[in-house]
Amino acid sequence: MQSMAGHRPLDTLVRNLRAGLTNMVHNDVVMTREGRPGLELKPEAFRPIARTNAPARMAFVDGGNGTVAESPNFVISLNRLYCGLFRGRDRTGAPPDPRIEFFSLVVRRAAHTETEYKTEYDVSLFPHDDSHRRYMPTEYDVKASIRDTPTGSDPRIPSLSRSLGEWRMARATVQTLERGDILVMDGSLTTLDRIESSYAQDLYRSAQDRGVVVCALAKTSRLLTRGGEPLLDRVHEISAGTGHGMWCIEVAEQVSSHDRGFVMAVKLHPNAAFPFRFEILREQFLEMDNAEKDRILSSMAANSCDVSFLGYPYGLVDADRYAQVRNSDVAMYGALLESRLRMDGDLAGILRSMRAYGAHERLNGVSS
Amino acid sequence: MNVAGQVVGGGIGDILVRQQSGSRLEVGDLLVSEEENSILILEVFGLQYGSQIDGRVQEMMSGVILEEEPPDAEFYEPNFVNYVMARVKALARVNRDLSVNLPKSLPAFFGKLRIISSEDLKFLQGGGRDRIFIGYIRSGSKVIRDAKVWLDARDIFTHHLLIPATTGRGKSNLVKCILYHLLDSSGVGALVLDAHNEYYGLNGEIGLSSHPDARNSLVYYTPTDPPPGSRHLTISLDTIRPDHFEGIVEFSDAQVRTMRKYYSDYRGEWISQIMLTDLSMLGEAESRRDAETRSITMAVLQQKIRQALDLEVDRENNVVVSRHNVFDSVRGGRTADDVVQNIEEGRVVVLDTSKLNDEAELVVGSIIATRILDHYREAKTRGILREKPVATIVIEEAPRVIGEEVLQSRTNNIYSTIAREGRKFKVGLTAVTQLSSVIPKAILANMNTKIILGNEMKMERMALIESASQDLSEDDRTIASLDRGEAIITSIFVPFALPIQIPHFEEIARQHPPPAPGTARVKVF
Repeated sequence: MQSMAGHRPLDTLVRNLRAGLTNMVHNDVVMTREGRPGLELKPEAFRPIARTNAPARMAFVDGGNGTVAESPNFVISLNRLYCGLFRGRDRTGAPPDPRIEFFSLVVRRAAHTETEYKTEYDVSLFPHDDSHRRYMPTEYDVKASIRDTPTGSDPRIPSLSRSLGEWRMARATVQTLERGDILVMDGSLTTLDRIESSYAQDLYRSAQDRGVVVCALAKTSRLLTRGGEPLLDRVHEISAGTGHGMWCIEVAEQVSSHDRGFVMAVKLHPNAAFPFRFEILREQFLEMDNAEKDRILSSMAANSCDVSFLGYPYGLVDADRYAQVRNSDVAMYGALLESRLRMDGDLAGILRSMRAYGAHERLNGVSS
Repeated sequence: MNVAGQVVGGGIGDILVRQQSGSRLEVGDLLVSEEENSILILEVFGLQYGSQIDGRVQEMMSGVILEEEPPDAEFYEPNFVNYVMARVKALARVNRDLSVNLPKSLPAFFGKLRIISSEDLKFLQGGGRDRIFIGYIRSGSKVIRDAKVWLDARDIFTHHLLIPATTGRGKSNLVKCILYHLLDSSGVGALVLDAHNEYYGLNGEIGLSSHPDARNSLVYYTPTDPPPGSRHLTISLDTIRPDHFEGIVEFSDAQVRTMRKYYSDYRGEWISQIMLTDLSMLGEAESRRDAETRSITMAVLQQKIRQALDLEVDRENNVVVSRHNVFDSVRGGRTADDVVQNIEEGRVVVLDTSKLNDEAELVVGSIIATRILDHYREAKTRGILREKPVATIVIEEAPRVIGEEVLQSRTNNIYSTIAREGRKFKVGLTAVTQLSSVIPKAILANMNTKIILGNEMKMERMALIESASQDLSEDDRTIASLDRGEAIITSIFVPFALPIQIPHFEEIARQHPPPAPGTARVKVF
């Protein structure tokens, strides 16, 4: 009989990792989808980012959501959208409605035909102020974004309203910006479906009309090189030989058909621990000269000297702080909702259903 | 409104306030919440850091700064992300009609608070003939000179006053200031045992003698070279009774019996007789053993009295003399009566006891205090107590007479009697001490006004906090951080514990208005 001490699954796992992920042969071009070309990642391709005394105005947009209540036939989410304005290290005013909060209710109901049993979704959105609807997606678009899945429920349902809302918030923000200003989205310019793509397109069109540059910065990236190494790790390694403190390297004109951004990797502070994925709307990027690229990168770097996260734009830290839906927020609204449901006798069944659906939390309480 | 902070949480007695950047709150700062028909006065009792950044990230940030010294790195929006949180408690609600209540509700959530101003303190009453100026209201270390704290002298001295502090925090200055204002009042007479001879003001120094009405209201006794207008401190041994030693000098039962026997036999000359007794003449007709015992008892008694009163026996002339000229077997028969009379006339009597040892000083005080209490008791019996001013005995290092150990090991002394029951007879104690913790709780609680100066010793602070007239449970650090001249008044006669700055005595003396022509009463001693 094998002793417990002799059974070491983690040791085996580590051996497998070593076998699979070490001694890889470098092939320093990003692996794109659909065979799109990538640029070679070599020391000469790195361009230093210079400091600037005249950074551009930048708007940082982010969103957050949390599930307040759910059962098999409905989900209630709390969504937040936020935009902050900065010029270099300084906050520079605020857009008219910097922080928007709304609830989304997605109800899954039976909609039988003569030939089959099936379900349909009803979507309702509830802002605190009706004037905020201009920052929100339409209920129809959220409904149209929901996909059928084998389990009968799209896992993106709780976050759909928020992700579409971020594009809307960005478009509304662009309308308050001026030529030369920069809009920075948290994440990437990747869209997941036709609806989201049309929202992104609205933003791009509006931005191009007003001369506002659209960018996105992602803290993490799943992109790999053709050698199978994580793109940002490999770029970081190669950069060591360049001697640049802050730098940018162009990675690919397009990494997939769902992404409209020209993809780069950037290190925005000499002491930054990591580089980040950075994108500029491709149509805009391809028309830029080097001076314009430098202006954008220097402006980003000028906002990335905060000690709390060196090399990461403070505007995105700020946006995350305000857009985030915390557990305490969810708990508070959950309790408020429950108290209202209790007051209405007809809704007692909903309360039971919510509790039954939340049984795993109870199990956690028992078994943890 | 000049905002100092905003209420963000907490509860009764411990409200959390985020400090407005730049306002630099201090422990002890007084803040105001403006409400519909009143203002709420709050006091900062604690300060701590607050941050929007998680603690581990803060430590990491510090590591980056310390270890990497990154160029061009800084805190963005430092006032927004990192800030100071103040813990405050509500002290009082001041209504529009200037009435003051203890607050029973919280300030508005997210309500803005501002630093207190003199306008908010209009409810403090002004001065008057029988009111004494203690100091200016203080907000942290900021002194509000327009907000003066005057207390009714008769109230606070009847109900005993405690002045606790460690050395160097301004006790003597405070006592001098209080006594200076007492000179304006005929409603309170005071006996001051001045162990350091620091109150009167000799050799051109500013002291109580600088008061414009000092000739009339101040009486000064000193054993040597009394300056013009003052008196020689000489107390006749005849005026001392055995009970004046009670609780001050420790005697055995046999010694007490001997003292009483001598007092019974010789009355006013009992001390001289004891001191002049020839031990070899004792017990001539008794057994040898008894004679030895009596001889030993007498020898020890002589030694104790000699040490207590600093006496010497002049064998040549067969008289008892005092080493410091205070006790005299011939002169000073009227001194105690004169002192008591002056106090009963509302004067401040300062006895320079600097040349006396501890016990002699306390015996002198005991003689006079006993007389005062007797007179006031009698006045009460006769129904004329109301006509008399309040009498207070000012004693330094008070645990010498009202300390737990003293009271447990010895019989009650006149000072502890006054502390316990003097209030009924308008006789109070003004006790100055570094060690409040050794005073029994029952006596501490009876001292209804305490002017607390700085004290580093936790045990002392706790004794004061537990016996305060207001809830000072959160003021431990505040008391510890009181600087020289800073104090907290806790009293049944103030609406809330008042943080004050005690003025320098010289400042008070300089500001004092000279008496109007023709108003000064002249008394020649």
